[in-house]
Amino acid sequence: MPVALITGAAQGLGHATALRLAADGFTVAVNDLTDDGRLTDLAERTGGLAFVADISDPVAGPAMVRAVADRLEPVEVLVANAAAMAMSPFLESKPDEWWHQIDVNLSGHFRIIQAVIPGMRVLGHGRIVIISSGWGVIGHPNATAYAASKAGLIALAKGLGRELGPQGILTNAIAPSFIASNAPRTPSIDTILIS
Amino acid sequence: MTAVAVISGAASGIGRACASVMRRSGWRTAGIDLNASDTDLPLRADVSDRAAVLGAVDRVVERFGRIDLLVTAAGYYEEGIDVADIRVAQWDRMLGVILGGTVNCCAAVLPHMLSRDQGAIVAISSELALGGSATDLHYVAAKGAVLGLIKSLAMEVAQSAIRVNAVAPGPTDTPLLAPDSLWREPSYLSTLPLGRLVKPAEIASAVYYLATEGSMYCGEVLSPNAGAVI
Repeated sequence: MPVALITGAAQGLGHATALRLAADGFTVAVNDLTDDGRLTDLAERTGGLAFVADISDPVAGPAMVRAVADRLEPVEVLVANAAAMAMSPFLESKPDEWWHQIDVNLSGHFRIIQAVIPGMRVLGHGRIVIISSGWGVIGHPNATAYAASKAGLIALAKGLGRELGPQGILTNAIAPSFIASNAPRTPSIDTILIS
Repeated sequence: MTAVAVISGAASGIGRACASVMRRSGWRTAGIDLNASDTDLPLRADVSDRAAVLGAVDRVVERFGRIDLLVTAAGYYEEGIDVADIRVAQWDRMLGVILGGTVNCCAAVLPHMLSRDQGAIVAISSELALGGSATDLHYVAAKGAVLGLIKSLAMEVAQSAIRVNAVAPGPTDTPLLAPDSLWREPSYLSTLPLGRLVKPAEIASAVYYLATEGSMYCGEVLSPNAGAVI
């Protein structure tokens, strides 16, 4: 059974994606930053395995991909879904908070993608699905870092599509709008949703 | 009072061409670059260093008293690298200079624009951010991130009458393209509808337009690219 790795799978879009892929016959490796029980529940429910790792950590992210290959099989499908988000006016953004969103969403997935490519090359095929955001296309006030990271992911997907496509590794991005999930909301997001 | 333009990466290539067109048009120019630039106020600083950029912009305000335009052109390019071979340090440096440099310059200049409720920012992105490219993934991702930043910032400061836009040049005849760059190969150029590289002065024209006559643009991406992405 082909292995699908889903980052940020404890809730929301990642959780739903893992359930669907498992239902369609994939062995799912579900990742998140921490496990408050939901990740383990998901792994048990899907017959997959849970991998707790901070993908913004240059060591832990690639190590997780190796662990998936060791305990299951090399990753054939990657769903790059995990994301950090913090909204604040541009000039009031703390540099650490600003860059953390780039580190998780863009740089973190860059390293995860680097780590899964060798296995996909051996297989001769693979799929990389990057979860971007509508805000990466049209922007949003008070979300410069998030929008920058998501726009970067779109460019990354286009570049990877060109680079890896001829090797049978297909890369695409999805840019969703608001999703009714259980992800924690910031007050400003609630304002947007209500207004 | 003569208008003042701050240009990062002003010592060479597109930044240099921007400084040149602004000076010819009667603007006072300040260049932020690792190297000395041909501007009215050449300042040497690494744009990836927030404190250094803040210090440089302070000197611009001390000297000229105002900033009307910021052009973020500082950057560098590496091509011919398989994605699997991009080292973490390479990735971090590319994001630090291209995305971080844009962020740092915007953060340093914006308070001075907000205090006067006017100003314009033009960021230099890349055609590769629109159409993707193989073998230079870190550059493409950084330039794509700049577009997300610029569009969001445009919405955020538009009510203060500060216009934020981007220019996404196609392959341009600058020192960033090595003599043996694939983008200079006749076999590549023949795929472009215009069949040639873009000139730095042509990119500077697009920047100048956004900074002046293009007063209706907000969060726009102009694409002077010889037809590379249509």
